[in-house]
Amino acid sequence: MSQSRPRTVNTQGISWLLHRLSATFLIVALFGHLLQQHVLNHAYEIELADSAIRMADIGYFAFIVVFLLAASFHGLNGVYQATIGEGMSGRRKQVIRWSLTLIGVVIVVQGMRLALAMGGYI
Amino acid sequence: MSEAQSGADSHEHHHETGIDTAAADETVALTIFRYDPESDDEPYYEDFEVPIEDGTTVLDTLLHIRDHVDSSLSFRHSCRQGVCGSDAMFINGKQRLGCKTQISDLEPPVRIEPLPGQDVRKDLVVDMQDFYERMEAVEPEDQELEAPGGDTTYEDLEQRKQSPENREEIKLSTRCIQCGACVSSCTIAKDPDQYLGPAAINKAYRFIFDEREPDELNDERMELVEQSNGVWRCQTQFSCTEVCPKDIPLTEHIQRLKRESVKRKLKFW
Repeated sequence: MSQSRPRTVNTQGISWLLHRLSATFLIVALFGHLLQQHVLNHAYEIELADSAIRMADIGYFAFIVVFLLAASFHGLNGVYQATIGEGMSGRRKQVIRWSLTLIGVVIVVQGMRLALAMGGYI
Repeated sequence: MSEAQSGADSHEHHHETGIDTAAADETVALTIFRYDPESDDEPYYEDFEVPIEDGTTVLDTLLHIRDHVDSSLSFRHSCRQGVCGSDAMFINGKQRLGCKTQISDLEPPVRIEPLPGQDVRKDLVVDMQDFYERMEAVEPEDQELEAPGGDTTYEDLEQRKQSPENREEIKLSTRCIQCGACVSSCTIAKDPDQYLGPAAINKAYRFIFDEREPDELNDERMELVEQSNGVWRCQTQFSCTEVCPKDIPLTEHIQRLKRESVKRKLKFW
């Protein structure tokens, strides 16, 4: 019996699960957002001030933070998985992995700064 | 274009080729991939016109060409009834078994090529070594085959009985004839180090969900398929499921193994 193929470390299960959980959350969140902002409470104009008022509500703020994390992970992990699917491996795979991680950190940090500032928390 | 031979000489061979050339009143145009690495600089396509009758399959036409027109045409075949899996080919842009594919179901000219993604040995014959290595890669290392008889007692046999429900659960996965059509159709499985491919994973599925298999062996099988080049690489394109000549829901089996892997890893304290 041949075991010539190299075994690789399993780090994919948690990514696979989080990708699906984040997708489920994003679908529900986007549907709720569209319903709330464009059907039930249709605004004539989209104003930064209105967004700031909503962000001051701790519940909405928490929702936006979770949305930011879910969207960042889902988008960047999707790109990462697609590059592996295209055959990226070795050093190039590591470079892409850490580049996407860095991009994710920047997005989340900047998003958090913005949300905190808009809600008047900082 | 090579013209297929007709008349008494070919009629004598109709039992071998499956085409009764005397009775056949139609012909079909075939465009066949040709390549002999020992004599050809590069592959080319050759056209043939072959007599057909009701029920003529792609394999029948290839046998006719080999026996009456060009004996150098190379292709694999064995059982001629969709069981051995030898004659998987790329027919009109899709992986199919030559013996199961009726000419009447195809749009002429019928284009016959070797399975994409594998090295061509000659004409329609591809190197299957890589495919078989993938199939072996999901075998546990410490698997010991029990000799029939010996210390096996009646009680042992009772313990290995399979419930009808479990039989139903894995029935479709046991249909695999290892033709390689699924791996050839999968864009991710082109690189074996990236992805084991649907056939090997289906083989693991067949044992992992078989209640008669020892847990230790299935734990090892699970470890093999949940590596990063295992089930996670499936992008649910369904191409394997679409081309499988035995109608095995390969993509569903792979997704179930993903869920099973995560379930086994999740612990709630």
